Amino acid sequence: MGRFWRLLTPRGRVFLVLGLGVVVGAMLAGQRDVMRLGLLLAALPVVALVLVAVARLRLSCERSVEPDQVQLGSAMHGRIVLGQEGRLPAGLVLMEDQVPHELGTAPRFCVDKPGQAWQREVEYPLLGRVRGRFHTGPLTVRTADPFKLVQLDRRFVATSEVLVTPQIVPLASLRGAGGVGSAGDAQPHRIGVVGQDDVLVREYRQGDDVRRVHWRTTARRGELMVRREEQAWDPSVSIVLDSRTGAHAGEGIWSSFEWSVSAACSIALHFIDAGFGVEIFEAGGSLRIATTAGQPAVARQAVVSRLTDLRSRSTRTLQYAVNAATLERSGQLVVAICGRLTVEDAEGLRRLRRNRAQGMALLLDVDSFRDGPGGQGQEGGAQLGWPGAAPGVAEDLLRDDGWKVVPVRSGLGVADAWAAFDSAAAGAR
Amino acid sequence: MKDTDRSALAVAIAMVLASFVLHPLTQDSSYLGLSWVLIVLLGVVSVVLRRLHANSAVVFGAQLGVWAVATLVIAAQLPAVRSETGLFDHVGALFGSAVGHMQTQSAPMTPNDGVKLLFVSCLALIAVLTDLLVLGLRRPALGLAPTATVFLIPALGLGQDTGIGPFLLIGFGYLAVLIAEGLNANARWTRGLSRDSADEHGTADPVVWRAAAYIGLPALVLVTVLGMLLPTISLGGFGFGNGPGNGGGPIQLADPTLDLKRNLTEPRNRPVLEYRTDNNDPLYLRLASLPAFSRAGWTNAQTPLQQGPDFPAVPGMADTDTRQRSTRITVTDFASEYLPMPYAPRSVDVQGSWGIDPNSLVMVSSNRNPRARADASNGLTYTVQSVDIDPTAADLAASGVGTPVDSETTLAVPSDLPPRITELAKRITASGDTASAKAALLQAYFRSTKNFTYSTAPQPGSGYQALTNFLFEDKKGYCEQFAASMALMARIVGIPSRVAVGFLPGERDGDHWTVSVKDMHAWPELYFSGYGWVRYEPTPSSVTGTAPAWSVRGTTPSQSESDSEPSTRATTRSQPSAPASNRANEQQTAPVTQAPTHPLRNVLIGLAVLVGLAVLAAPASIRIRRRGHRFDRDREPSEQVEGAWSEVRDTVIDYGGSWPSGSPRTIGAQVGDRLEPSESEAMGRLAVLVERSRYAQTFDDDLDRELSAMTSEIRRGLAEPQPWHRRMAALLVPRSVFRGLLRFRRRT
Repeated sequence: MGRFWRLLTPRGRVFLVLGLGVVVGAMLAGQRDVMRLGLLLAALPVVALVLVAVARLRLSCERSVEPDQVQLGSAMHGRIVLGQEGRLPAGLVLMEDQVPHELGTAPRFCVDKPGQAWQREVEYPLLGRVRGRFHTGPLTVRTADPFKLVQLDRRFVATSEVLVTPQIVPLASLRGAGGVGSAGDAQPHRIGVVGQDDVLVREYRQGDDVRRVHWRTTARRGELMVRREEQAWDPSVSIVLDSRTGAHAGEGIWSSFEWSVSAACSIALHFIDAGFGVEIFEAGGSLRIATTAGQPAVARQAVVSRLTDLRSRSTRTLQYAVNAATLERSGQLVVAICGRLTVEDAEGLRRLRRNRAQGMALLLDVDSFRDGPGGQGQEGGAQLGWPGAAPGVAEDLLRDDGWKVVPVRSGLGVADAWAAFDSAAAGAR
Repeated sequence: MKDTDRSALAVAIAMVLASFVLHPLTQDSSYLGLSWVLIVLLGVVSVVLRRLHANSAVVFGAQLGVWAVATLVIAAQLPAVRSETGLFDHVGALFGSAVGHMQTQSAPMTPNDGVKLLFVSCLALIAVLTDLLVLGLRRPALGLAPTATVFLIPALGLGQDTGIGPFLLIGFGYLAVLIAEGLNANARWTRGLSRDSADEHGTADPVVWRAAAYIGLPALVLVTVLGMLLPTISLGGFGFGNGPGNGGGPIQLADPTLDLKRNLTEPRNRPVLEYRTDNNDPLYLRLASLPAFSRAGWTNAQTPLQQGPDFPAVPGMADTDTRQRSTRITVTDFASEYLPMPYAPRSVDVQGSWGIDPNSLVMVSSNRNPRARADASNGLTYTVQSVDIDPTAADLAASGVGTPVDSETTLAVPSDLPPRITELAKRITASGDTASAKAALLQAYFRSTKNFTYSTAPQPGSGYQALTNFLFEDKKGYCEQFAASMALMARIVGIPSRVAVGFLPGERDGDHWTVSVKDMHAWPELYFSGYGWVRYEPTPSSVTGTAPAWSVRGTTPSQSESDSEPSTRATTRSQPSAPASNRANEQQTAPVTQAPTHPLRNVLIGLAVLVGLAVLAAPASIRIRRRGHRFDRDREPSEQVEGAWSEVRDTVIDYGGSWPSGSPRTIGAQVGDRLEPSESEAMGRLAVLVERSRYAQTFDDDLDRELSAMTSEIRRGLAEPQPWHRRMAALLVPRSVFRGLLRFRRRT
């Protein structure tokens, strides 16, 4: 009984109760005409209930989202193929796909063909408006009656996963940040400026790979010499991503935080393609990408996936990022992508740079992001909930420490900002 | 077809179907066409205005305007009832005549312009209300209410089962409204698709129609079957509109003329009742009035009864401000289901359950126990207010024959009437030129001792056989034959007539009158325009004394006859009770339907109460509807935030507060100051949300889910410190609604 009661909509319940009440009252009062009205009110939900509850749906559903991974701001489309075997029930069959509102409105359609077996294919547009991992579906099938008295919701189980990744921008190579390392086959062509310039060789030892024989020296020395590769450093880059909520401004896709994530992702992929080991440090610590070093494809996937899931943090300082980065191997390149910096943050970065060869910083002019694209940046606008931010001072501190600093205003693309490093004068060096 | 077109069409269909429901009430079908024109006109107004995106308040107002103008135009086309004093007086007069007509007529009513106007106007008004509910307030489920009121008028007003027809009309109309809503909802359902392989199939309407048929038709069949099978019980005092304690079945009334003969021939005269009245005038006390004549004689007719104590208007009497006579009657020893009363009673103060026949103003017991009913009058003491019908002979001569509302019964002369009687009537009245003259000639003919002899010897009865025997053979009879013959002949010459049964005035006994069992009497009542039913006295003066002054022309021929007292009646041969066969013939009493006693009056009152309740509930409903609309999940998040903000504003206004001006934050802070800390914090958050939704470029926060929770928290905070009466006022007469109405804001 409770099952049937739950199938009734509020209107259906009112109809049933009111109708029965009128019937009883009219019976007691001897008003047969009034009783008929009550009977109609009560009979409508009952008949609808029987039709809907008895109905058996034999639907098959195939769903997909194409493509299932897009960059922030790109469109995709969902696709549902629905098949029906056997007759449809007498009621209406209404479908609604569950779509997170970050991707768009939930598409709805109804089965409008009372025929036997058929197939139906619908497509609906989705837009990756927010970075993250989303699930569309499952498809809800609502069996209802046209009088809105009864409704039975059933669900398929299948869902589709959609990945809305940060925007990835191909970056140009930088002259200043290139170099040739000395390691083995995965030879990076542009290595940081640190490290010895010469190729070190030693005598051949049992077990050395033939491919590591350094033929020029062998010819000169008259004995087999091999490259001393195991001591060569692996070129790597540490990326510090300022993911503090308070350090950023702006809404959604146009926020300074999204810009930072997009920059971090583009830079990380750029270096992975170049053969570097890459690690990203955000306000909460390391993203643990370096564990996949040596497998560029896996690393790429890890970077995209971790940054897709990254959310801004309410942490107030960058010290976790700095500490985690300091503990990593030293001597390499560090790239910092920062929002509003306090003096303390800048000092942290300076500490970090101490055991790194080169520091590059993208300093976002956060306030210019506040009003979205094309908005006029408000110079010196109220800095919401972020006391102590001192962008100018922090920039000077970094420059003094020898960082290459590129200030970024809203509207500047990631590729352009990156290219600006070429012309950016390194600080006192 | 737009949504509103479809709904408006459904409303028009429902109303046209509903208009048929009133048809059993009147013989005049011309109201149908007029009301359809008006319903269609109102539908067109609704469709056009809604297509122009008019506010539903504007549509409602426009429809009311069209309704009012149409009512006046129709009224102007109808011939005036009274003098032309202006259109509004004219409309008032028409409505007044409609009410009077409905009070005096039984269904189906004879054509009346006022009733026609009333029906058309009511149907159109109900169409406006239906349109408001279905389209204006978007509550199609409530669309049943207005048409159901139309349905209830005949259902309750006629007092008998109106059958399945009217119900099906209403049922189909309602289903039409619901199907329109289903089609609209279904058409709105599909959204957000970029490609659909089923595009070529067109709309999903066939599916809706099919589903509606699968549900609606079985439901209607089920109702039809169950409506016949289910029993209806009658519990005392539970009925509505039906008089106390009955289920609406007919009451069989006994033939009062049977008592007449038995009482007249009782061996022992005994006092049965006493009365005292203003001026101590002698009064005829009437028990019953028999309007129907057939081969078997004079009988009761089937008639609906009304509830007392006030009587409907005196049929046919134009002069309404006649002085009322007060009579106090004590029934000492007389058992009857009829209540002895002077004619024409206006009100009565009596114990027990009594029903009133609106045509004859006879009061009969509505007790459903036959035994108790037969004894209903015994031992009662009651006071009757009545008016005397005492026209002067000149008045009567000036007035013509009237047409009573039940003229179908009271003017009917059976086609198989022996032609001898007709010829005799024509012969007697040949010299009379006016109706009253003819009546006087008839009365004189019967009163003449040359023609007839008073005798209680003949068998009781007023059928063809008894009358021909009396008129042409025996020429002997008692009051029943005299009254029956004169009433019949009056009909033959075109005067509506009926036979009253009751008591002669009796004997004066100091300051009161005593009526004995042998004073029981019968007399004809003839209908004259302006005076209604007027008593005549054809029974010879040896029994009845002088005839009424108005009933004789010029000098009264029977002036010389002495005022003999009732006890000196002609020979009373002791007569055993009538033979069984004859009695059986006489016992064909007509069924008198016990029915809602008020011709439509209580229904109209109920309707007025319903409309009143609807008007009272309107502000609260509008307010609640607005709230629901504001939290509609389908809306854009920013719209929802604005909705929540407006909701808080309206709540503040509802509780009599003022809404500060300024930016959302300022307002939030000011309103928050009046709240508890947690609610104040919610107010602050809401204010920030409003700010962001208004000024931020994009607004896609996942906040809509907590929005309603936040708003209800703030609302709770605003409500808590208020006293209960302020809260009730905020619920029932929310000030924000009136503010909104005054500013005529367009609903978003």
